[in-house]
Amino acid sequence: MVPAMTLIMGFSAKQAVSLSLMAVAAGSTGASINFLRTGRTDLQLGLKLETITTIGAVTGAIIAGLINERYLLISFAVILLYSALSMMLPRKEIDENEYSGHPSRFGLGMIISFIGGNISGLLGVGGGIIKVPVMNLLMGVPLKIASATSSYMIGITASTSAIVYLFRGDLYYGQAPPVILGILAGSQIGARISYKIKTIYLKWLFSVAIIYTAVRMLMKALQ
Amino acid sequence: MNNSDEKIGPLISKIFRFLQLVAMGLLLIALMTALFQLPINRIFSYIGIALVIIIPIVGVIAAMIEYMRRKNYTMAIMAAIVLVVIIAALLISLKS
Repeated sequence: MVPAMTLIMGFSAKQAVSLSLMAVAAGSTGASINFLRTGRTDLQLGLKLETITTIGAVTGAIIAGLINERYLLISFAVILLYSALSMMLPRKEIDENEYSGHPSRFGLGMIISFIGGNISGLLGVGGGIIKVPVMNLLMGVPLKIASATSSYMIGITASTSAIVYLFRGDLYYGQAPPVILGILAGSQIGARISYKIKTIYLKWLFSVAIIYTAVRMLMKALQ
Repeated sequence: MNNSDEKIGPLISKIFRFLQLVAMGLLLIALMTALFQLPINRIFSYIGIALVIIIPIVGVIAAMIEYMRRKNYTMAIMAAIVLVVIIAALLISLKS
């Protein structure tokens, strides 16, 4: 969203980031309305993971100056590429109706979520790219439940950052109403479509997004 | 799905829907008043945006209260930790 706003619409980077944060908070709420109503969001898992991810993000932001960003980018890009390929490979997907609400390897999931939060805080990459593969591949949460839960979690993170911008007076609210109204409408439509779309297509779409992020990370590391 | 989530999820959904409708109304008014170049559009825009960005946090507060009401104290503490971390993050970022 930020590249589109800066390159196509001519916003400054600061304006684009603040608008993007508001849009993510709004979009996440819009999508979560449907997911929460139908019980697709695993609220308990979302809150538990959000605790550790947010702590990771805060730690990441604090230690940002102490770590060599290049090595971190390369190692995380490799992990992302691996998870994208794992998602693309055919394997038995748990049916969302069979999901018991008790994810496996919870401890490991928490540790990776903490590292993911760290990376997110350090590099400012979106949380969904990290959260969905952790929940789906590692913890055995069905993809549709993982993406609905991640959507709920992303809203909390984005709104925290947006409030910081608001308090600092960096929130550009002049251009915000049309952007937010568009995102709200789009997220509602997207959430409804996701009920009809096959999981395999969702997996491919998500894998492409992960590969794109990993390539951008590698390019940034090699600059 | 977890048993208590079956009730809390729809409740948070209802809260989200109500607040989002109010925010959308305010932003629509802001858009209309901006079209007619009325200075009041900034006020509507500001309140609408503030509402949009606090909705997810209101969701966490609602979940915490509802888990406490249902005596699921583990989850109530989890939600409280999320809130504490959010406040800590805000304080750290505002100080730096």
